[in-house]
Amino acid sequence: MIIFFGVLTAVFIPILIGWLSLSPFFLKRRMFFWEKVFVSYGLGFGILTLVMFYLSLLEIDFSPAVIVGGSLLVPMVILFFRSWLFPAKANGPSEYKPVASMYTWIEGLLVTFIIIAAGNMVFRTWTMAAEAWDSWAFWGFKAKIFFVEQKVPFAKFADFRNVWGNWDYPQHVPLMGTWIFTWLNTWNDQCSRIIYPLFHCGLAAGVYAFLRRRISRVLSLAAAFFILTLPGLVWTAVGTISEPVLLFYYVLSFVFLLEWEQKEGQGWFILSAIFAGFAVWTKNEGMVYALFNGLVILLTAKQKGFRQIIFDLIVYFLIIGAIIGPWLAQKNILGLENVLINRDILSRVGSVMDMAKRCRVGIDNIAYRIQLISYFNVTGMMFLFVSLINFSKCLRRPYFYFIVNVLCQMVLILVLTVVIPGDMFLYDASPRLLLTAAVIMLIYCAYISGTSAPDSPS
Amino acid sequence: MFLPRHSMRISVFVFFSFVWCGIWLKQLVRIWQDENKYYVFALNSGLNRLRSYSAAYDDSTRDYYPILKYCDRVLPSGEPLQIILPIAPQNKLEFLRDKGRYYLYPRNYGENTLRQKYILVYQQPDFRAPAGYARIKDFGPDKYLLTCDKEFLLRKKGKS
Repeated sequence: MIIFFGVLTAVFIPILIGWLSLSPFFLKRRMFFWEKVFVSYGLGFGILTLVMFYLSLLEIDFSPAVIVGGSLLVPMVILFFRSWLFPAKANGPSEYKPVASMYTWIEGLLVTFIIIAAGNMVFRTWTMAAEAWDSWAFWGFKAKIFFVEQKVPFAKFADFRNVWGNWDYPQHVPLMGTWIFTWLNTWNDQCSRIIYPLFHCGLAAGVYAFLRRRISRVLSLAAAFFILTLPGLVWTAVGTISEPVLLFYYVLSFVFLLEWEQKEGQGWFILSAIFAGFAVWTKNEGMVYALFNGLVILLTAKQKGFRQIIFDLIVYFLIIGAIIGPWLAQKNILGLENVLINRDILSRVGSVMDMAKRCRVGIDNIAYRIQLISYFNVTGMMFLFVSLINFSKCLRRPYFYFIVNVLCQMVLILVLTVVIPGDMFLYDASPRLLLTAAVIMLIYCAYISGTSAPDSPS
Repeated sequence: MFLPRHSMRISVFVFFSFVWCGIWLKQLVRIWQDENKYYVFALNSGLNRLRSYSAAYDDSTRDYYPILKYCDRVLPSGEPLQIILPIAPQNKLEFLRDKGRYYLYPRNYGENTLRQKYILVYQQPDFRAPAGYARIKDFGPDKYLLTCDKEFLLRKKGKS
C-alpha cells in the first residue's frame, strides 16, 4: 500500500510541475479538466527529465529534492517573465465555454466503454511482468543504470556501446522510469510501468478535447474511444514500449498547431513547439515529426503572410532546438550513431532500380499492415470510406492538414524501407510507425464526419 | 435522436463505429479468456515471483532469476560476475544474457568474455572450470557458482 501511494505521488509531482508551468499560457480556462491534467502530466515529465539530464551534465547526483527543486525553477521563471512572454492578447479569444448537459444513452455507453478500456489497459500493464524486449532491454535497463549511478553516466557510454546498441536514443523515456525509482528510493520496475498507459489515456483525452471544441460530444467520445482501443497502441502501452509517449507528444503538438492556425492563440503555438521538442526528446523519429509540423506552419502562409510564417517557423524551431539541442550536442561529443540509420548505411543505398524495388515492397507493406484488424482494427477502411464520401471536403482546410500529415507518414515509412537494408524494419518498426498515421486518420475521420460547414478553401 | 446530424457522412462513421466496438469487445473477451490465469497468478505474486516468471526463457530456466538474486546477495559489493550460458539456441543465449545484465547491473554489463573473480555457470555442462577456481554453490548439475577469491573461500570455510 505504501508503494502504491509512492507511485501516486511520483506521478502527481510532474502533474503539479506541468500545471504550474501551463498557467502562464492562459490556456487553462480554455482547456477541459482532464485535458489540463494530462497536458500537465506530459509537460511536467518533460521538464523533470530535462532537469535530470542537466543535473547529469553538471555531475550532480539525483535526489528527489534536487530534481523537484530544479524542475520548479521552470514555472517560476515562466511566471516571472509572464507578462513579457505571454501578453494577454496573444492567446486569442476564450471561445470555449463548456455547457453542462445530460449525457444521452449512447454517450453514456461510450463513456462506460472508455472507462472499461482505460481500466483494462492500466490493470494489464501493471500486472504484466516485463515481457516486450524493448521495454526491459532498452528503456528499463537504462532507467536502472541511471538510478544505480544516480545520474546519466556519460563517461560509461563507451563501455555500454561496446556490448549493446541504441545509446543514441534520447533519454526522456528511461529518465521517467529513473524518476519513479528515485522517488520510491528503490528499483521497482513493476511500478514504473504505470507511466505508459497514462500517456495513452492522455492522448485520448487531448484528442477528445480538440474535437469537442469543434464537433459534437458523441463523435468526440467515439474518437477518444477509438484511440484508447487502437489494438497496436494498446499493445505498446501494455508492453511498456515508448510509442504512447511519442504519440502523446507528437499528436498533441499537431492538434495544438491546428488550434493556433484556427484561433491565432500564441499559447497554443508555443505549447505545440514544446511538445514537438519533447517528441524529439522521446525518440529519434520525433525529429522528422517536427519537420512535418514545420510543413503545416508553411502551409498556413497564404492566410498569415509569408514574412510572418518565416518568423513563426524560426521561433518554432528555436524552441525545439532549446529543448533537444543540449542532448544532440552531447550525442555528437560522445560519437553516438544510430544502428539502423547512419553514414555507413546511407552510403550503401543501392541504385535507382534497387530503390524502386524497395519502394514497391514498402507500398505493399503499408497496404498489408494498415488493414490488419488485430493491429489497427478498421482504421484503414474507415479512412478510405470517409475520405471517399467527403472527397470534395477533404482537400479543404483544416482537413487538408490531416491528409498532408498522413501522406508525410507514408513517405517517411517508404523512405526508411528504401534506406534500411534487410527486412527488420518492415516487420518490426514499420507497424509501429504506422500507428502515428492511424491516430491521425482516426482524428480526421471523426472531425470531417462531425462538421457540416466547409471551411475556407485551400 | 442521439446523433447530431443524419447524413451519409455520419452514417459511414457510425457504421464503422459499430464494427469497431464489435471487434474491440471480441478482442477484449478473447484476451481475458486467454490470460485470466496469468492475472490471477500476477495478483497473487510478489515482485520476485513476477521477475522469476519474466526472466525464464522456458520451463527449464524458471530458477534463473532466483540464482541471479542469490549471487547478487552473497557476492561482495560491486564485484563483477561473469555468466557462462548455453551457446545454442542463439535466442536463448541472448535472452538469458540480457536478462542477466538487466538484473545484475552493475555486476554485469552483458560482456561475458572477460574472466572475472566470480563465475556463474548456467546450463553449460561442457564448461571446464579454470585453474584456481572452486565451486562455492551448487544450484544443479550444470548450474553453479565459481570463484578464485581466496578470502571469500576462507570466510565461507570459517562460517561452515
